[in-house]
Amino acid sequence: MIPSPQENELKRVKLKKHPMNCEHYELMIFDLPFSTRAADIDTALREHVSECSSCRLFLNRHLDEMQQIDESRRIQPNPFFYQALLSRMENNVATAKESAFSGKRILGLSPALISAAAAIAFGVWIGGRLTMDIPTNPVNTSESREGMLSAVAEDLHLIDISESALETYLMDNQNPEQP
Amino acid sequence: MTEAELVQRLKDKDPAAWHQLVEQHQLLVYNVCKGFLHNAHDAEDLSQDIFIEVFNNAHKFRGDAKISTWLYRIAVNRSLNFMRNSNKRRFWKEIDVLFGVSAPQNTTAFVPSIETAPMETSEQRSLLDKAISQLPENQRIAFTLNKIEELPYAEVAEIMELSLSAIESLIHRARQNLRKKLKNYYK
Repeated sequence: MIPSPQENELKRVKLKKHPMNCEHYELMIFDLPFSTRAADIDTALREHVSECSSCRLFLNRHLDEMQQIDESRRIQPNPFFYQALLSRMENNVATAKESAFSGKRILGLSPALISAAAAIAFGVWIGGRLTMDIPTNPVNTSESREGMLSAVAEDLHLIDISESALETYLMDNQNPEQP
Repeated sequence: MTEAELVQRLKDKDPAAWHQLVEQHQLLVYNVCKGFLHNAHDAEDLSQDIFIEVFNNAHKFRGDAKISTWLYRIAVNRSLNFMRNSNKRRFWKEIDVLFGVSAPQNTTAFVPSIETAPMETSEQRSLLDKAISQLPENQRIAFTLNKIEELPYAEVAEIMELSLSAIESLIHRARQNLRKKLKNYYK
């Protein structure tokens, strides 16, 4: 059933005066396209804001904000856009050829790859440090034996540093109390 | 030239068709990118990337939607990817700062490269613009396409590959969220 004009008017007045309906009008304000200007506003909303100062303030602030966004949009095409696009495509082709297999490209893949490489390098370094103190060359036994003999002979103030002289000295000076 | 002819000639890599496409749709692509990135320099760069992608992938266009719908879809997706990558770059920059590799910068969220852009591109963002940026992703896309780009619900649904009722619901929730966010600032 189509409501009569009187019923419509009654409904409109009720909607307009009831403070709870401000929420309805605020949502209606957010439904406006951003190119809307004050003159384009819907009659029902305009009538409500003419009587409700709170919604009027709300609408005016929103219109200002929308206008700011709408005016920041470009309305004229950039005449140099196509030329810039062609140059960019040429540059892209040249760069792709140059850096096809370069290390820079591989490194540029992801920070995770760089982190993994760094971890491997760190592991190799730590491993190198740990194994560095293990002697790899065999000890020259004849040199060390002679060195030891001369050191003992020097301690015992012996002139002769031969093995037999050392044995004689040790036998001569053996402690009889020791088993 | 009809749209079907234009598409066919694009698939054949016809330079004249390519030029026509760029001239006809550069504003659309640029404004969508700008709407998401809030930086003219980034938007210009990304628009060029998008047209290069279109040129390279023209053969993939099935022709079951308008060219503009296809371009809107690419522009929205590429803009969102750009923002995500910027956030990743920011994360790695913060890691660098943490380990003292580079100097700290004041970054709190996706920050377009305002400092490197020309003077006229570093606009002051409005409260409404900031509030829209804080909406959940799908609400933001639906609201931007419907209210700023002024596309009908049906086309927004086609671009986002969602049902009409889903778009209505997204836009309704976006309006409610914006009202909640801006109520105290507006009154």
